[in-house]
Amino acid sequence: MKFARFVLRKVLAGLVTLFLAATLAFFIAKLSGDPTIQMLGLSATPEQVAELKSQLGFDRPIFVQYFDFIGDAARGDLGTSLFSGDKNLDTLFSRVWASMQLAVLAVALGALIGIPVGVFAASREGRLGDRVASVLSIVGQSVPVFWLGLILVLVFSLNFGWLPAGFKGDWRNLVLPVVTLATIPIARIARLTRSAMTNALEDQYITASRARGLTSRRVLFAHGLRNASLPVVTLIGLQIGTLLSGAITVETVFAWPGIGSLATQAVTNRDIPLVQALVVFGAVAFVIINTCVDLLYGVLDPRVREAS
Amino acid sequence: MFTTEVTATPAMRKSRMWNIFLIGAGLFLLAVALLAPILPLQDPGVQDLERALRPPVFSSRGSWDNILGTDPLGRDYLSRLVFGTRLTVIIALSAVLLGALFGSLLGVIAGFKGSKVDAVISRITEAQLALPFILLGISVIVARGQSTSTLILVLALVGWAQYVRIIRAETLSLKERGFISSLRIGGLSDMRIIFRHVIPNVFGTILTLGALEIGTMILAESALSFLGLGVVEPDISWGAEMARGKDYLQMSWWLATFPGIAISLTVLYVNLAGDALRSRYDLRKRMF
Amino acid sequence: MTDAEQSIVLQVNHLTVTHVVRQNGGRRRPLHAVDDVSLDVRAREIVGLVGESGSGKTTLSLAACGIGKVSAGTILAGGHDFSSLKGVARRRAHADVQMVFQDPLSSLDLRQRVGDGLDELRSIHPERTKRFTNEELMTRVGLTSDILGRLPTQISGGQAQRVSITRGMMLQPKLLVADEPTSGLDATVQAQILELFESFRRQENLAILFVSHNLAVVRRLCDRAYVMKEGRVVESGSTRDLFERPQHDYTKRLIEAVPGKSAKLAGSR
Repeated sequence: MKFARFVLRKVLAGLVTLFLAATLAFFIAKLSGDPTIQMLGLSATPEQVAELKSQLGFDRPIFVQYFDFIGDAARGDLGTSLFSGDKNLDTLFSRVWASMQLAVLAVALGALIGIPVGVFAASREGRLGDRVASVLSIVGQSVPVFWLGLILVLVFSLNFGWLPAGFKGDWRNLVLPVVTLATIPIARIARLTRSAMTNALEDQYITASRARGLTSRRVLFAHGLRNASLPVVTLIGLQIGTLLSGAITVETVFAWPGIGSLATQAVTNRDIPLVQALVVFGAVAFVIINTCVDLLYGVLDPRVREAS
Repeated sequence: MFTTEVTATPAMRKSRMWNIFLIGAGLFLLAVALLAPILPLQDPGVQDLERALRPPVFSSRGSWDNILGTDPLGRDYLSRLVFGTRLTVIIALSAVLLGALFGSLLGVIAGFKGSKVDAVISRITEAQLALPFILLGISVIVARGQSTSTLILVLALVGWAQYVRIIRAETLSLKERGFISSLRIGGLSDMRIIFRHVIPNVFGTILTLGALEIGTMILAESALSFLGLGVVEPDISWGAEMARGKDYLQMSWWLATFPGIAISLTVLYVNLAGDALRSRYDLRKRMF
Repeated sequence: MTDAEQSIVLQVNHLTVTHVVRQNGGRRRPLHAVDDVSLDVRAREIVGLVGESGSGKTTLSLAACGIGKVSAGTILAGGHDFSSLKGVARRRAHADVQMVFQDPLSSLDLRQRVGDGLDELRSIHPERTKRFTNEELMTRVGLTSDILGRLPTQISGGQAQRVSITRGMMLQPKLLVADEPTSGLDATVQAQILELFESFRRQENLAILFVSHNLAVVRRLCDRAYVMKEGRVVESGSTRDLFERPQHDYTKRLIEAVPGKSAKLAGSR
């Protein structure tokens, strides 16, 4: 019963956040300016602007627009694209799988490489191995990820011709975008693993055991990994969310038919409803993933269920 | 979007030489940005179609006239990159200032007042953090139209939430210490306590966070410019140059490569400097 | 005002302070940090408030100073009912009831020099602080004036505590609430601080509510004392009566726990 209450609390909190986020997004966009002028260009006449406005429903009072927006969104209607005429939700769903592929694979690669690197750095704390890992991590966080993608394309695709540059084909098309995207989670996961493990190793209980000569390296690592596993697992979950919406530039570089390149298209076309739908969708994905991660945390660590 | 967090190694951190290097590099960067117009460079806006797409000097067809080659319109690339520093610096600094001001103030108020005010502010901050950054930026820019000021606004909008959480936590731990109660008993008004006592005490954190955020802002601005949402011609941004370079990747590789190097080096510097600041103010290491 | 009719400086009537605590299992239970407590302090008295941590004495102190939460009951401190005051009037009223905290360093702004802190208080209470200059204030508590230019991190614990006391006393309060002011200080410094309290009581017409778990100190300094346990007052009386003829079990246990006292207790039974 306790757990059911915990789940309910988390889901409710997620819904509230989602509602607030959608509201925030709506008002930020509305208060930023009048997009109809942008859409028609500077040569538009006032009549054309007025017509477009009424066509889009932008001439209604703002709260009416808001309630319509929220009402529609709650029922799953995220509007219609101005350019394709398709329902936005359908368009999004048709492309989300491609983005998910990248996100999940990138995070998986991130964990696969990041965790061992983090463990390694923790074990060599302060020494050369740790320093090298730190430097790499710093450099990794300074490089714009889309530039890295371009360089990889340049080297591996155009230069050596080993791998194709983009488009969705077989598994070989996945390699470059996934590797590019993976640099973000690799760096984060490695750093988190390292700090979680060093924290664990500094644990008083461990120091005391060590002082009595009781602890073997294996036990030390087991303890460190146990301590690190929870935050690392939650980070992995969160990363999927971040990458899902953060992959826009990478998808653009690799012409990957996911949500990201959809966003770029929407921008080029000044397709306001689609952009708005994308923002809401991104928020939904984020909140769902965060809530799942919170719930997972609650399953794994009973203390969390009591607190908050 | 997470703050860029960086851990330099202990040895690097403590070295005096290192600090001198950091300060020097920073001054150099600022100097380049400020003095660009008077440096002995070619005009980055002058087009010369005959010299279009010349490779850099170390390539076989390159020449010393254009050390880093030219772009599709024949403009000297080295000078374009140098001039690109200006907007990068201005935009990043402005966005950080705006975001830090707004976010920190909210964080202090939330931590200080507690209960309902805190609940409202925290909820809104969480909601803001749920919104995907680039998409939010897109929706604002599409509504307002592209301009440098819009860009700064968008970046500040995306960044302010980071400050709230951290500064709120700092404020709460200040409250724990009890000197705020002591000041209240002394008869100080809340306003006075906030501005004369809380803010000076959290200022170090704000500064450090801001320094680290500069790197994030630079990356964010270059991403937006890369997507065609950033600065407008004739202003120069490294991200925008990369966007153009993307289409010429096969034959004119330098167009996409050099701006990225510039961004990476600048952000690298900012991250290292920010980390040096952080260790100076001795913040506890945060896992996230 | 006659001696017989000493004015009451602190009147606490049926005070209850409740916190809502979420227990294991999600149930919310109200926790009474202070449970129906009544006490008073008269001018020129030093009254002790004794109890272990968690007894509610700090919560009571904060409420008495007008900055703590009050769920039920009334407090009249220095003649003011803080719950009904707002704004400037409230802030002025604070001057009549001052507090000295346990850890001096955590109650001072570490970034503010001692002298600047005093000046700040002057700017808020100009009339009340006219009496002494900063240098004189330092001398009054046994400090030298070079302390004025220092940061709290540059002075010792005992000096910091004296600065805290100065900040309180310079506003000429009617009541000083001292919450464990001497724990963490070494014995000689403790003695000096207690001496300071005594001299203030004599010279300044000051009443002191002395909160402590240290019975030896309470015995030495206080005229009367209240014993608190889990939010309630279990016993009260003159310190002599409390120590020589404790009624309540808890009081007896507290006294027995003081090293060197058990012999005396055994003898008086």
